[in-house]
Amino acid sequence: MLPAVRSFPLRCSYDIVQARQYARETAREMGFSLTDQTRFATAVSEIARRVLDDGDEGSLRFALVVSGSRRGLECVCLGSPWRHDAAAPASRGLLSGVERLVDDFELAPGGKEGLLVLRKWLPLARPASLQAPRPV
Amino acid sequence: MAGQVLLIEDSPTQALRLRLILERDGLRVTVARDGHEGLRISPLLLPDAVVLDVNLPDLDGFQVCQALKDHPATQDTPVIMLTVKDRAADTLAGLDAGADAYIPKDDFAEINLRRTLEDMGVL
Repeated sequence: MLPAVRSFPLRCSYDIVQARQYARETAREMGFSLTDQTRFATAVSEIARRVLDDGDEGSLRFALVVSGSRRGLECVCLGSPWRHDAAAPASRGLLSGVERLVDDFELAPGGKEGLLVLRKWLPLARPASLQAPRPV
Repeated sequence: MAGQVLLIEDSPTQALRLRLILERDGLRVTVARDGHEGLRISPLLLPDAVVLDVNLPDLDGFQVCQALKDHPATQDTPVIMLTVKDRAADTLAGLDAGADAYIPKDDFAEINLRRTLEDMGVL
């Protein structure tokens, strides 16, 4: 049974490894494909590393999210790299790889620290009416 | 019959370690020491999965993965990249090359490799 919410502190490089593993495991249990497990876990690892590279501490909070009939996995990162200047083109350039790995990528700059939100959504099951007809 | 894995890894120590882990799980493991050897063996061996290191002495793992996916005999063979290169750009390069899974060499690498092989139906 997956917990609805789980938080990880970011204080040392091993915290990155543990958070990445949690992201991969949770995505696996939710039914994400192998490549999507890889994408989400890598995105989490990358943003966590940015927080520590900035010489600061931060935190990650994982949550299962629902939007209509969609189910997804969300990671909210609190850290100094996402404060006001995180939206600058140079910083965004460094994060473009992360943006390509997830479905939603939202920056919420703040004063000392800002928030970065990542989400990956499970593909919707195709309605029966859209599925290919069975061969006769 | 036990699944067959082709392990492309140039480090003898790493290769032996992975081979023992996979064989303990009942898999048959063939080791190739570089990219060219891996590409030569794979169409003959037709493994159930390829476990591929990125840092190889001749071709890099991305080139090997792309070549495996371009070859008619191995295009459907699952490729697992196992690597110390864990940045977003590296992962994207691996997925763009056609890798089916990309596993960083960290403390959880062995368990992730085993679970990935399970998910692929190889274990």
